[in-house]
Amino acid sequence: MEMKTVKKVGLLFFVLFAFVSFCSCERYGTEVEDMMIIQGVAVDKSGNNFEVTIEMLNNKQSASADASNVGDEMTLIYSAKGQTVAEALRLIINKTGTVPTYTHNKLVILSEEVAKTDISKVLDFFERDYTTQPITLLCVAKGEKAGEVLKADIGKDISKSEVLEKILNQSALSSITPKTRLIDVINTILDETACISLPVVTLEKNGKTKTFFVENLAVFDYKNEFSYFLNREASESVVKLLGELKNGTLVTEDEDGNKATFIIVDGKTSYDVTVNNDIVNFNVKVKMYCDLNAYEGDKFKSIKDETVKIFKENIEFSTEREILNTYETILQYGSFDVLRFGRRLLQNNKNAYVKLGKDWQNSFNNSNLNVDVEVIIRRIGEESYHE
Amino acid sequence: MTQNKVTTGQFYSLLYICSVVAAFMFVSTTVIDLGVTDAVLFPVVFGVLSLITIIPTFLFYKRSNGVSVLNAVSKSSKAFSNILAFSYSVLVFILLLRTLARLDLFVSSEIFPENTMTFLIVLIVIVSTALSLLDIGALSRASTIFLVLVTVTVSVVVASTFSNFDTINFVPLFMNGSEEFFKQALAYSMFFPESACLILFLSNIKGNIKKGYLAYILFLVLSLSTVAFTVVGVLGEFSNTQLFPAFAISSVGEFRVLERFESIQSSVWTVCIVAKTTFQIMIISNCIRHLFKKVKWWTPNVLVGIITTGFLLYISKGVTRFSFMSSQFQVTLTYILLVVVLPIIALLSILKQKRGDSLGNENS
Amino acid sequence: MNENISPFIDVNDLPDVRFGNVKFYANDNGKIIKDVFLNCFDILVKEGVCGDRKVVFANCDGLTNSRTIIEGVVKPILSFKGELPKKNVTKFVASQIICNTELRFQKSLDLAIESLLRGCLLVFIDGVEECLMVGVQNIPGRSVDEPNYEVQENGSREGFVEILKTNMTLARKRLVNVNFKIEVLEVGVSTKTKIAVCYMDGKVDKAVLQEVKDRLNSVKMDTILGETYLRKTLDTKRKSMFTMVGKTERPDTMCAKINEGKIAILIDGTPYALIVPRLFIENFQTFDDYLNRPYYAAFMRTIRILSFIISVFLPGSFVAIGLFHQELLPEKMLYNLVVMESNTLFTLTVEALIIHFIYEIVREAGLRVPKSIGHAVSIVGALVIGDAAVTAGLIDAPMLIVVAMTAITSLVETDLYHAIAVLRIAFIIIGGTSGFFGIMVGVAILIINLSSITDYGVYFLSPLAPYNKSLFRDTVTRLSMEKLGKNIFDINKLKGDSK
Repeated sequence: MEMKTVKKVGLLFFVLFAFVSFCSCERYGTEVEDMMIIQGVAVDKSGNNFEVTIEMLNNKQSASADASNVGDEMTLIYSAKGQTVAEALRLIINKTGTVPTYTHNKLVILSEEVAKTDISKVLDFFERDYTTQPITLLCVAKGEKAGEVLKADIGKDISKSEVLEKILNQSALSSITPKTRLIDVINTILDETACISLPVVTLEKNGKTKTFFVENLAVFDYKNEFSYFLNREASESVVKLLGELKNGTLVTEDEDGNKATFIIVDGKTSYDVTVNNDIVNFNVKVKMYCDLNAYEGDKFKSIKDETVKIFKENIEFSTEREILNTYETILQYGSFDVLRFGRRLLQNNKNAYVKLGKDWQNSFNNSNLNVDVEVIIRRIGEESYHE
Repeated sequence: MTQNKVTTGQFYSLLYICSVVAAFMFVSTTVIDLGVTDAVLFPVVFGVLSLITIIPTFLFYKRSNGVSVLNAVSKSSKAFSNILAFSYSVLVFILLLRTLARLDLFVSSEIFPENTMTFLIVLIVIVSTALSLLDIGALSRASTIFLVLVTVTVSVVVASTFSNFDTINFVPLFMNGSEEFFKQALAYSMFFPESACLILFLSNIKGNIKKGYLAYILFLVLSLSTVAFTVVGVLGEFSNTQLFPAFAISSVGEFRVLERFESIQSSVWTVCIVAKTTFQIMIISNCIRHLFKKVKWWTPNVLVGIITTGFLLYISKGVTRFSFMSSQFQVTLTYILLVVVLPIIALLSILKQKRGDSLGNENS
Repeated sequence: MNENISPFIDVNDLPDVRFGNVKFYANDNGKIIKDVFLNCFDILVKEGVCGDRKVVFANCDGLTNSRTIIEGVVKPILSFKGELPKKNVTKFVASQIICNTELRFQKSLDLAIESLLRGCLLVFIDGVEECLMVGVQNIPGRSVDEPNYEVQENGSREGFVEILKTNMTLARKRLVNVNFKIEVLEVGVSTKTKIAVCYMDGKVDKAVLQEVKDRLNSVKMDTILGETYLRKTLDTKRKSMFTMVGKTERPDTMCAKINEGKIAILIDGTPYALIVPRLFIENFQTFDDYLNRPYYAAFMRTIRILSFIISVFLPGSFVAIGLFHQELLPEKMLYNLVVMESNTLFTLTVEALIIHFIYEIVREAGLRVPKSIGHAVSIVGALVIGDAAVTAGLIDAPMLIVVAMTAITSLVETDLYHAIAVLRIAFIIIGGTSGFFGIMVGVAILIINLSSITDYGVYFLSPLAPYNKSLFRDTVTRLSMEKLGKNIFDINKLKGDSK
């Protein structure tokens, strides 16, 4: 009798479940062709509003006069305006008729104008949305509107966001620019002593099409607003000082002015921080492991030991000089700590950090940098070598 | 309680997965800062605290000759054992609601925010109620399999995020002072009161419970430290911006072409949640059975399921209603009552009973 | 004869005695048999004279060897010209006249007629209230052949047949051991099917053996025509899709299980042996594992386990990923999926259900169709599923690949096919409504249900849960035969985990 009651109760629950499940009360998942699979987002300013441009996978279901490329292209571009980034992104739904998902969103491009405002307000949506990846890349568009970067004609059947993402990743891997994922940027914003730096994207003409070019770095101030650009050499120095040196390229000369190209295969940066009379001294040691890639001077004869020594000294000297110049530039233009030296101070000397961290901009401005670059030339290629 | 015997390995596997899922679904609060390096040592403090707070239970175990608390206390005072049973049922019910409320928040924030999936949580309650009609043995044996699943998943997630470790995320220990550290560590420890259930199942466990407990705590501390270390090393202060920091780790990890293991990780947590809610409903039903001996064998379980569903539907309506479930005051009070007060009271009762017996023997 | 037997037979109401004892006069016995089997062409009753007494022979034509009857029994009896003794007539006839080793004496006419129906020759002699039952069976049946379903790469090619005696012989010749016992019981009121309970005395648990016998004796069914009739009685009470009663077509497998302390039941009329208790992990083990090298055995067991997991979870997971967890898919795959899905009519869940039902229909048709037109089924199946459905937009290519993989992997584990087929559909529905979240709730239910199954003192998931270190050596991996031989898998070692 008891089992019958239990069975009846179980049957009742099952019927209720079936009724709830199959009555279309709830939407069970979303078909992939009904989704707006966003690949990249570009944010521009349009008066007081934001103009958002997205690149999405062509699901063959969306059609609108607004779409800048239709038919069998791999991706489609849509734009919308709104008071906030979040509103503008939601308004795009009205144009596509699909449900947005940011699970495959690779990057967010900010225009210079947007970058000049507090970008933490812009990034809040991407941090709060549950589908956005924390490893979404961020960059700033120079010379063009951010939307134009996404609309650029770089070839047929290509996802521009994917191409740009690869370029940005390679740029970080080649130690030209630091890695600027959403998680890194937010960590920097949450660090009161640090300032953000983002890679800069420009468009270059390449015949009928255009190509992306990433070389420079955009420096932001303590209010998370864009301040100035750093060129490529300075950007590479920033990467070294941040401790993100992985790969890269160096060009140096021998005593006869013949150029030699080295590739950096690995790098390490170590820090030692001392404080004397409230003056912070950063002693940075940069170790680079290099391989000789090409040399103009030997005319296919074997390379000599002395030549290798000269290369080593030249690289060390030039790298030290570039790093120190970059440091001077940073201090000169506002002392915005994009190098996260405040955090290095905290890791080395907590008490000094507590004291100096309250007015870090000033303390950073008064700080000194001693850099010691050590180059280890691992390999010289296939050519013969004489001691 | 059923007399179905389980080994210490099986029982502690069950406790482990109950504890570890609480760590994974840890909600960032204003009291506990998971982004600082101190968080790596929180589990160590928890481990030490667990080894201290279990002493009354072990003493009780020795005095009662391995009989579980309700049965042992009822020999001396039926009324007192009823009070104990009622207290345990209420406190474990609060734990149950906390687990499910957090799950509801998790599902609605991270998994299916576009849809209202409260019916899924209700489904879990129904499933757990049905499974709680089985014995503790089935659940414990299944937990050994879930343990392997959880360990593999955590290892995969940690391994896939290893390349994203950044030493810059680490700050010196005791950044805000040792007092603040211990305050946060203790607040963190309050979220893991699972060891309180040991005293309720002493009759069912065979083997060396002390050695088993030590192994359980060590393994748990290791797991929690690994998770905390990964959260700090990979996410840094970003973890404090996330509602479920441990969940956010898996969105950073990648393995070749595969990215975003959140759905796989959260699915494995679901298995642990089902086991945990089943266990909690089982405890509450057994306490009710102790109070009302003449009820049908399935009535307490169904009753608990229905009441839980009612409360859950109320809580899930608004995010502010979760605040009570996550409030540090409620969490701390529940922990102290369950882990400290009730076992000490039970121990005093059994000591009094033993003393009364020995006095009676002397007189006779 | 009892003329009051109702056509609606209740097995509890049948009278135990219908014909009583053997009658004094041989002709009376012959008359009774003729009346009982009136118009039965295959029951032969012949009269004769032996010495100075009348003799009646009765046999079932199809079940007996006519030559043996004539040469070994009838001719010697009818050609006996001497005088039969006054006492112990049947013994005299059995020892002095007939030359046949299988002889029994029977006083009960009911049991004698039953033996007639089992292929014995009955000899009634005037003046003797006892009949002689001579074993002259020639029951038609298949010869020992290769098993159909348990195909092995190595090892013997012998499989069980429908005749109990042959099956017992196949087992007996492999286990030349005085402790190997075969006890014969009878179940089924109408069919009176003989079943043989085989075990190794000294290794089997006596309590389990008694439990098995009690369960078999408690069977109150009218007919036992297959092993499935007994399966429910022998199986655990816990409701589950999985069973603790194993089945094998191979004598070598049966002997190996008996040597582990398990009990095998052979049933007359079925070419299978039932083995109790069966563990879950045994579904992924074959006899080939012990004939191959350990590393390969471990590899193949892992493949089988993976095949089971794929066959149950792949369709549901695919639907769940397509509807809820698109972030798991790499971009290129996602793009291809988007393009293909845009051409189909139905949602992923409906597609999956349609194609799986079509597959089950084709499979069932292939099972039932006569061999001569079997090729038509495969052509239709390939055309319908492979080409037309995709072209028509009913399903897309990725789903077809998923179904193909599922179909192939489910055939690796034929024993579990019933459970796989149903679980697969369940997980498709669950995955389509609640993604991985729901699938894992289903997994939790499944694992807890499996953990709760116990019978004969052993847990179904042993030695995984509860974990048994010593017996784990022969579960997923297999140690070498030397190491295994030192401490062979013994089902009784798992009983310690349940106490």
